[in-house]
Amino acid sequence: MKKHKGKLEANTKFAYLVNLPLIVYLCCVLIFPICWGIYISFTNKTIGGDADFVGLKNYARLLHDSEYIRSIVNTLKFTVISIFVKMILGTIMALALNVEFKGRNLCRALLMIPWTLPNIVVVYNWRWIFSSNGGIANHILNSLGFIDKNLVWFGSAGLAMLTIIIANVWRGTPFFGISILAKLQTVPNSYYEAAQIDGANALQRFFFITLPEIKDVIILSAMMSTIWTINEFETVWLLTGGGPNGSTEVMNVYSYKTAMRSMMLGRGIAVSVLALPVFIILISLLTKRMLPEEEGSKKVSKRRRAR
Amino acid sequence: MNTKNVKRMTAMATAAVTLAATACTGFGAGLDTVSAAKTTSGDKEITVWVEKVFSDDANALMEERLKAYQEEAGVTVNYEMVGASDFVTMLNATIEAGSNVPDVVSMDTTKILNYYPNIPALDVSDLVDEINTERPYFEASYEGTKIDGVHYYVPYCSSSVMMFVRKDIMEKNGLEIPTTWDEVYSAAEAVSNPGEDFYGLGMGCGENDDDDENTLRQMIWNAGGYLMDADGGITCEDEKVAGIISKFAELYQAEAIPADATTWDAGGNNSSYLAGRTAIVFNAPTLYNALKADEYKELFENTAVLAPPTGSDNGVYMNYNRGFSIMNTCQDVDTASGLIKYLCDKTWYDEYMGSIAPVFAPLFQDETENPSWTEDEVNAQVLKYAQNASGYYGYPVASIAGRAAAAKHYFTFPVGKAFNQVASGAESVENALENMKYDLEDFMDQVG
Amino acid sequence: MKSKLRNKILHRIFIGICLIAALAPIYWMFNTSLKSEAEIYFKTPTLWPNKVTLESYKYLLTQTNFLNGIKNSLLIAVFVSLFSIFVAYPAAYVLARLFFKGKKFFSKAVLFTYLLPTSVLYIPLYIFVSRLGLTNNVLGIMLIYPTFTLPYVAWILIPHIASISTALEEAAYIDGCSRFQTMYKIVFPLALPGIISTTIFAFAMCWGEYLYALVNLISSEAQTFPLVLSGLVFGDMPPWNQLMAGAILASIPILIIYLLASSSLVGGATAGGVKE
Repeated sequence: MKKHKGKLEANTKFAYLVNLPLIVYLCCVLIFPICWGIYISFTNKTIGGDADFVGLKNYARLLHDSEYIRSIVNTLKFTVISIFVKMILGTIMALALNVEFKGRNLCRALLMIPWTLPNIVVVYNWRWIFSSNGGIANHILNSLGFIDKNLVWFGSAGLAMLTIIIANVWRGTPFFGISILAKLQTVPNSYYEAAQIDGANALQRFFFITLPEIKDVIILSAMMSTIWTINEFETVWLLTGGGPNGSTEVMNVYSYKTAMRSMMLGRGIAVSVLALPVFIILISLLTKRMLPEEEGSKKVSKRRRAR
Repeated sequence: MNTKNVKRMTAMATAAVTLAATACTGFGAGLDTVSAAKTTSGDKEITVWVEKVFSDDANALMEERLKAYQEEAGVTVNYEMVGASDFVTMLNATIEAGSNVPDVVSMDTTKILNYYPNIPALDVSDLVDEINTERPYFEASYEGTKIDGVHYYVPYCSSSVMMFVRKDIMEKNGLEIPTTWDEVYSAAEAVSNPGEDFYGLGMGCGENDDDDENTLRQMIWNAGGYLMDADGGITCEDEKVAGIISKFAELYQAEAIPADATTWDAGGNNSSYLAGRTAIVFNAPTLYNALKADEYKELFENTAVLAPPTGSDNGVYMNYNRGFSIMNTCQDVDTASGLIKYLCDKTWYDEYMGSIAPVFAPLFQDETENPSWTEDEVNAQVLKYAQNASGYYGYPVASIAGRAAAAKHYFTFPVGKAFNQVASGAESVENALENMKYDLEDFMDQVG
Repeated sequence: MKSKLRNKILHRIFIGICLIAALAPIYWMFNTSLKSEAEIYFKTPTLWPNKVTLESYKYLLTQTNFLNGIKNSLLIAVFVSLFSIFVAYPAAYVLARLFFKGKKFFSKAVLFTYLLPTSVLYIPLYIFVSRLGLTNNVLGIMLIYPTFTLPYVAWILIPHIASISTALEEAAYIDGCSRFQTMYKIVFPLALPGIISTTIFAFAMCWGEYLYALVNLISSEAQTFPLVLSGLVFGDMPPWNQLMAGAILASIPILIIYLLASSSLVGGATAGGVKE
């Protein structure tokens, strides 16, 4: 018991010592902005104006604001659909790339490109592709005979939502694919060989060998991606600006419009602060999932593998 | 170690070396660039942010002029040419940080009003009057840029929204070029041919279509309808406003306006015109420049560019003047004023305006005698626009609070929304106006 | 045997579909970048330019600050991604391997930077950087970017490290290696495939970042390439051809890095070879 305690102390010392740079960085760079943000959300601060404490007024107002409620609904729709599609596509992509074939390296590099392109150009490209004047999307659908009248992508609520989801999925899928692939490659071939000898079919092999191995990475990627997608701003702002009629106005676009266009900084930031609990829950789930308590993760992962 | 591992290590090493090498070479270079933008002369220093305009030549002229002021006045001029779409975002960051705020910035009425009640610019009425005595402004420019009797920026040039008409189409249908809104409406109906994807009027009413939002307001004013009265009361639930909205919806449903117009962004109308889908559109003269390309030769020859039509009651155009503000953090107002006056010097000013004509028009009365603005047909029309541009958001409300509310709600495009709802059949005119009223009221309490 | 062939064909078809989905939009970028301004707005879009022109590339390279922007972006992205790996790897290591006091809080605190979106954080971070006098300086941006790369790197590395067997480490202990030595000498090389892919992602995150760069890098000398590109957009008719030419050019460095590194990512099975 005593020995165990000594080890814990040594571990603790070691853990904080090697992470000193990280801790110092986070304290210096992040504490001020986060505290500032939370403080401002309780004031009536406008750009260039003084900040007077107004208590919960910003929050109360938001909760009665139909535009705010709508932005939350939009964010949920956007996030849930995007994450689900990215997760499925990313897993399949990783599985397909885990098979040895000629030109695999090239394929993998090519499939990576969407994630690596600067977002701002990607967004301009989608705007151009879906443009109702000269856009290629309509042209292709037209010549394939799917539509006989040009669709107005940014015009109807459903289609506009679809465009931001497409843009997000297109760019985000490689992230899932490559993260999962990296993990897949650490699964020893011997597992599969053994399973093959036991007569397991492809589906069984996937569910009983592959999936348990990559589950953690999938969940981790999904949670990371959820945090990013909820926080998505650039794509939506530059693609649809929140339109038409607010149908794609996600939370951050609403927040930015309030803070930067209408200059109501306090109220704009309150939007983001209201979302804090969601992120805290997500982060808690994530940490719980990834870091089992007690002996540290190594024993647990060993046990899991043994099962 | 097997060969596979060796290969792997080599590849990684190569990658690492490449990365490290770029890091090292770039690092030194990056640090050099930091102070490269500044050139020193004298002790005084002034920072200027000028909004970039569409023309590289004009931007270069402006840079030269700012440099020339450095020589002339013996002050250090730090200038940046900043893109329009990000201007406010950047400016707001400096204002909040309370440091690096530029001394002189490009400004316009909407921008200024959005800062109300914390307007970060100085009252420059005296400077404007001084310039006005030397070189009188057009009445519309001088009065139209005043907010509650105060100038927060020095008006400099005028942007516009012009009417582009297909002469050949009008001729083919035996019609004159329309000069009133009623003629525009009837011409649009007469020349439409939806079967061939051709429409009379290319006017959008989407939430992303700030171009047409303004034209729609102009339509309403010129028919004698107003969203607000002089005291700032909301008067949008009005017969004349309703009439214009119904007229638009009628045209839309009769397919005299393209079906996708309800979903356009600001680029919708001009691309429809360039694609040969529409006969009449309202757009900034940038469209005129686009038409000059070889590929549009025929379209260009068949296009007439005119100041917008008048209405039954009025001939008011939206004032799109822009100019220069001196920020309230400026330490050296004299130098800043001197710089702005230096930019208004007639000889240089005329050269500069020539490089951005007809997208921007001058604001001074003496230009009505300048042949390059009177003899060129399009320039003359643009100048006519500037002379009549006395409208603004919330027109004719006078109080600064009322105007600030109007400027703030502009970004929610309440007018375009109402037109959209009625045209697409989502709401009745009454409900759409009620929604608009609600939208307008929502901003009233935010300016107190 | 037959079903094997069928599987193989299905697999190739699937890869083909993936490639089309990923690359078609990029082809469209490329196609647009080779068109003249007028051809872009043709009523019927052309799938291959009627007249191929390199005008937009030429314009970008000679008339704008694009190359300088690429240089700045490269400098920032390389520095920040390497910095992030070195600072965040120990965090991932201790979270994956050790049990220590305050671990739970520490693991969450790393992610706290994602609590507020960039569209809010950019103002206080700008204030912070300007207090240090680092606005208009790539150093300021280098200070800010790790706020979003560090938590990502730390967390995404955890499963990679956790999947490495502890056998070698334990053997190293017996040989008298310290914790610190095993962390870098034993585990780090084994986790390299994961570390490299993570570095590339971190690089890409910095490569195209827009909002922070926008407010912090005002002078054209210090600007990164996304700012140079967005500076090309005036009014309501974006010069699609120039924008797309920029996009194509900007994807080259990242492709090179990825291709260089990707050969090291193959054959990960060897990494699993030491497992129990």
